[in-house]
Amino acid sequence: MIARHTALLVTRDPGPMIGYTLMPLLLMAVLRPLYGALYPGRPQSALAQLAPGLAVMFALFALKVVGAGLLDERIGRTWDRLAAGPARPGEILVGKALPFLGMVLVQQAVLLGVAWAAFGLRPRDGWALVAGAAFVWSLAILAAGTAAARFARSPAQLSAAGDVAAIAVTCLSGALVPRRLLPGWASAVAPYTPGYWGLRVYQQALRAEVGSLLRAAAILLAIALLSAALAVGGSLRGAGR
Amino acid sequence: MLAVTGLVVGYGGGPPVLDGFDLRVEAGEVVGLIGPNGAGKSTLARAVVGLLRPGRGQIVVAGVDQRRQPRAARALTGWAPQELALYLRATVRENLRLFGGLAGLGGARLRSRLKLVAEAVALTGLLDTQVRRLSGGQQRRAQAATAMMHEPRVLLLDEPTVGADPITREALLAAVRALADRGTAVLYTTHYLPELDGLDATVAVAAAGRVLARGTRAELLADLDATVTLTFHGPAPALTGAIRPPGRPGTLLLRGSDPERRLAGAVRELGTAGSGADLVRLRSVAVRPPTLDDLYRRLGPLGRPVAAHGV
Repeated sequence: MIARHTALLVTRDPGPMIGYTLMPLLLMAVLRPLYGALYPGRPQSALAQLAPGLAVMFALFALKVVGAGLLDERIGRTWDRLAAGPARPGEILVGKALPFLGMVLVQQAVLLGVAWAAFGLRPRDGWALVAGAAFVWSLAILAAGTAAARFARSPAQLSAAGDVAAIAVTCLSGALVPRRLLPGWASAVAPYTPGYWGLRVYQQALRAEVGSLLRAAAILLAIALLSAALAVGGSLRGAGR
Repeated sequence: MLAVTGLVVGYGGGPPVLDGFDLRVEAGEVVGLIGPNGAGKSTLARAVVGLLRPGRGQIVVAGVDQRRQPRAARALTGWAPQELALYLRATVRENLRLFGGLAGLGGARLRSRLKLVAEAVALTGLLDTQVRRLSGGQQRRAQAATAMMHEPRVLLLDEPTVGADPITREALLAAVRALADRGTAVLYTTHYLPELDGLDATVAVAAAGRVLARGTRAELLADLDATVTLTFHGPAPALTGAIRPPGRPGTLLLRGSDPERRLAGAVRELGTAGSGADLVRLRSVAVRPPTLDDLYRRLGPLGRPVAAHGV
């Protein structure tokens, strides 16, 4: 019931998410020659940097959409209405979160699908691992967006902080500029950003390196759990009188 | 019914907003909860629906202890808060479906209740309009309707008629009264006392986190003074027992529990003094019965119990 209603609300305001899905496609088209030059004679390596890098970058922007959707609930006090009914807090959280998870997954699928269909991205061992990587990364984004909604005081604040965080994490994680080309200080910081592990989980899935993939996935799940804990702490707080 | 006993609720370690709040609303009864801002009216509603945890006291909803069985108690309660809390991009129908569905309605029952409730609050023609496109009064009615969808045993309405025009206000009051007639206990918070007459409601006056007075409107206002305002052409003459309001030289005020008698006495005195010249200068007379404001003033900042028939 809650998930269906939330999905309806998401579809009522699709503009931002359409933007965050189409923009990376344009960027992929214009950046492909540049990445080809960075990886001479290795087109799959170039695509394995470009497509997941953009998937990571624009998932970070999509985090704002997740956060805004949940912040609306808090500011509009509809969360209180839901919490005042017989539904359990867990049911409400899952009902609110599922459509946003679906939204981020669709974005990631479109991006990787276009990379496959138009630019020839080919995972070494099929798409199952990549799908798993997309799921774990989207889960982390969802949880981080939920936590952002807990701390933001207004949509404008969330939007501004989201832009800064998305650009900063993208730049420092090696999602846009390959880590080997980053300045030393930035390269050292990279593993401390969630974007780095998002990129890793995708790249290891494309290369079918299961051990590294599991490690990156575990770190992303830990980030998701931590964010979810912060979000739940906020959602259970009583609001003003 | 709703039974609140000795409720103490505070925010974040501050002084309690509810401090020993006692109130009982029987099945089929409408209780108008009135009181100054900060009296704890909205806090009470938030505690009843489980959004605030009481430090002490007990809330029982239709025989279910709110603390021991919170989900069961919430399922028996309908709540429309003071602030608008609807999905603005969803239609009225979608909002009603959501809140009705969450309360356990489904299928034909949900459709039937949706139709009935929309008719009752005069929103049938707006069911497929997004809430953000409604007027303020229509939004308030839609919000009240979401709380009434499942015919709750206890209905909490927090200033539901703010911004409503007289006709739609009447529609909402009739819907609330009809629900009470079917056995719902209604706690109706308002600053607009006359609408409690339309609900045939008894009144509870809250201040400083407690219920200070409980009774019918007539009982509570019975021993409060009415005000008679006499306005004269030119300066007001001398009149026994009259008050001269500062800055209004042509006006006299008479206060008392029997305004007609006070007015008759004043007219007699004006007619006899100065061969009736002062009476000729009388321009207008206005009688104002005691109001909620007078009751607040009498209760004072911390309140002074004036229970008509106890709490």
